[in-house]
Amino acid sequence: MNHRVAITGLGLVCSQGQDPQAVFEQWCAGQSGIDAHTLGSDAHQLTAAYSLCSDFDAAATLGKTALTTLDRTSQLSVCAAADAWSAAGLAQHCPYDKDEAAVLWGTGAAGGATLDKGYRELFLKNRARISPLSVVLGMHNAAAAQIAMRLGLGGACLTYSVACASSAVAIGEAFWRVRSGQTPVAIAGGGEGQLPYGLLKAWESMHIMAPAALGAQACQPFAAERKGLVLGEGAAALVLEDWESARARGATIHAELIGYASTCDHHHLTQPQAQGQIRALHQVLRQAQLQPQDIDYINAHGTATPEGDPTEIASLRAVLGEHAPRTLISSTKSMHGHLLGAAGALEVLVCALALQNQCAPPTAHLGTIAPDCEGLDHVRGQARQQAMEVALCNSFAFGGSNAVLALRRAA
Amino acid sequence: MPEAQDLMPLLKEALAKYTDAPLDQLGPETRFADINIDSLTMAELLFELEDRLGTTLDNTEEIPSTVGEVLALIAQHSPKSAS
Repeated sequence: MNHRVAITGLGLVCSQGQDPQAVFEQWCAGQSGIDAHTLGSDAHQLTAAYSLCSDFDAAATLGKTALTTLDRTSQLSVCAAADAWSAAGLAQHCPYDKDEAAVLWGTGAAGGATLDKGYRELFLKNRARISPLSVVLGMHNAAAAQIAMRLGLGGACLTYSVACASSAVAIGEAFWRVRSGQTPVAIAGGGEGQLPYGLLKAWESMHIMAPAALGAQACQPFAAERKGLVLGEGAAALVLEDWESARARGATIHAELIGYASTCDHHHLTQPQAQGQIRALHQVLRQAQLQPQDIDYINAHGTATPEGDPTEIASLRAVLGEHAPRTLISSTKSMHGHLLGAAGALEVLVCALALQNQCAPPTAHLGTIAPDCEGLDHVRGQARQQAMEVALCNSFAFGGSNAVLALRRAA
Repeated sequence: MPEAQDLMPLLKEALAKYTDAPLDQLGPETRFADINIDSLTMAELLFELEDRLGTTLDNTEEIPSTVGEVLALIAQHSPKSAS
């Protein structure tokens, strides 16, 4: 028997703040959290358009003692997850056996900053050793482990590393566990700390990043003038819960998760291919028993790369058919940037709030739509306030992994 | 070799990075467990002290458990002499 899956708590740390509803309203107003920032350390710095959590004070939230064993990615992750758990009312009173509560978390680079620091010690300063905490701060499962420790959760504690689809996959896999009855409650999401110099140079060398000179408007998905993606740091967490249990305890339900599909293009390491995306979209529609005309809003992967945007639009047009021109679409990466391992979770959070508020946020800075990105109802300028029942969230990653999640308005 | 006590200000400054516990009453008899410094943090603290002192603390057989034990350890390995 399938259980319905409720989203009962949201947690967020991003460049524009930590209050999900307040930040959502900024996105609806088209406000960008992106800016030109100087990143890196010591003699190795570069300036890039980036979405930086400049106001995030980890010590104030977590205490100085805890910071010793938390890389930036883990700091962001623990704060978002703790906020979501508390927002769901579970910090105050948890009716579930916490040993059955799962943590499913996504990250791309995990504790890369810790490793970068260690390498600088070894190779630049010729130190004989590096920090004894390097392994436990740098390991990919550090954030998930820290979340489980902080909240006392004893179920499956898993980390998914699927590039840009990491946290969408984490949420999807958590969805399956709650839906099947395997676990009554799960924290799912993702975190990505500010990339260290080495990783930033790695991204820069692919020539797909928008120029820093464009500042807040650097990320322009679907625009004819789009110049590439803008990276960012942050974390987003959702509490997924068995619907009936959530209702019974009077929890606020932001939205219902109704479907998840994951496919692989098996085509190219960086170039997306429509067939893989189309299969994922079809799968999620079948699973959630939806018809193309049932989709009201799509939060696109929309990274503003030359190839990615038109491929996604082509996939959506193929699946939506004659209903495409009436389907709302936006890429909120235009405002919060591409949070890599945390991107999927952040964008599912956007969808949940869009359905709760009955308001689709825009793609910011969308002047002229590129001809190969036409065909859907692009939300631009201000948000579109209208009745919406179903939203889709797309994550299409390097390596060809695709993850699509479907949400329904809580009713 | 510097006196262990002369290194107390250095130790306090390093400790302040790793604990929120008040350090004004810190003395040689203070146990690290009582100021929220566990074994993982201790390993990191010793690494940082190596950095600040420009020395290497040889693999110790026993992890120091009190402030006095750390002061003695770093006094033993410190290349600088007290002024």
